[in-house]
Amino acid sequence: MMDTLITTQESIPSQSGLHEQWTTGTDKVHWAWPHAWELDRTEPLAHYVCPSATGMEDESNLSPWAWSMLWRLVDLRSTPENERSPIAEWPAESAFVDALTFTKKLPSPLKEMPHISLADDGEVNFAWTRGKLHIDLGFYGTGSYSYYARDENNHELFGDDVLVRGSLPQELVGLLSG
Amino acid sequence: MPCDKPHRDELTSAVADFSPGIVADEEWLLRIMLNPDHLVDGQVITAAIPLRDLQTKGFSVDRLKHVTPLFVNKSINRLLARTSGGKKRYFVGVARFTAARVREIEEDGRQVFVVIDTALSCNPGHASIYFVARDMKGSKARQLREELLPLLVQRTSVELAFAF
Repeated sequence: MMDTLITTQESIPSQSGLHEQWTTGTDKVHWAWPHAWELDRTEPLAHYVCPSATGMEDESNLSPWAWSMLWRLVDLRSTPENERSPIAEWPAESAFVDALTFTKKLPSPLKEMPHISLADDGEVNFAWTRGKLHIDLGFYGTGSYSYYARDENNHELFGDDVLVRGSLPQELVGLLSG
Repeated sequence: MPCDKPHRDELTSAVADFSPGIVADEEWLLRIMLNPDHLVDGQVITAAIPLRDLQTKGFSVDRLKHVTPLFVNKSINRLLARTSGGKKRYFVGVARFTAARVREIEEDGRQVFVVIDTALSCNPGHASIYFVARDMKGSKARQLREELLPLLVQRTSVELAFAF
């Protein structure tokens, strides 16, 4: 099964030779995850995430929020092993990819930026909690995600087993659209 | 992980052999808080309380009367030795709350969380917080963990936590 995130090592700009290979489900995937000290933000994002993952071949068209979120994910994923918390479960590779896939589906412009963090249980968590929005959403690398959201009128929204590869639930689009 | 199949019976110790006893309502519990792992811009983030900890592994806390300031400080130093996502970690205090505050959280008149004595050989003062319900949808778990987050807002130094 082909996926927009799948690329080949040959197609990735080879800077360091540190590209890793991993699999998700039945798909063999090659990915350019650098180590943290290799990140250079003057370089195009494509050095680290293949263009198909951002959904935009031309990076100049990448919105500032998308660029920022993708860099955040690359930053987090690039934490060297010896710098990771000894008591935490590191997220599966597929959790990062699910998060990338989700990010490129977010509406533009976004009403608010999420805070993206890693929980100690292997979750890549997106939280919109600083402004009027309240959304708690996370990925464990299962190809789906769950969320709990509350709008400005305290109307609660619940989502479970939402497929990452599917379309964004309309209720989330409505909440997130700027 | 304190035990493979954690029970939810607050009247029974998970590790009776070397446990100091079940967790009383009035006992103070401590949780080390770090930036940026648990706080961003001074605000406790949802990821500070991992969902799977509440569901299966147990959300770890220390029982104040069964640990010492030296023990907590050693734990802090161990955590600070690593970065968080490449960023330097900072200790921002210990959250201090009673077991009763956790147990009194209810939904539709039902208790949501339990505090279980999960003593470890290396830390007899270890306890764990779990959801009462073993099976819960992710969205529901996310909704309920919000109820715990306020307990992590007020923090103090290790010394002060033991001083009163």
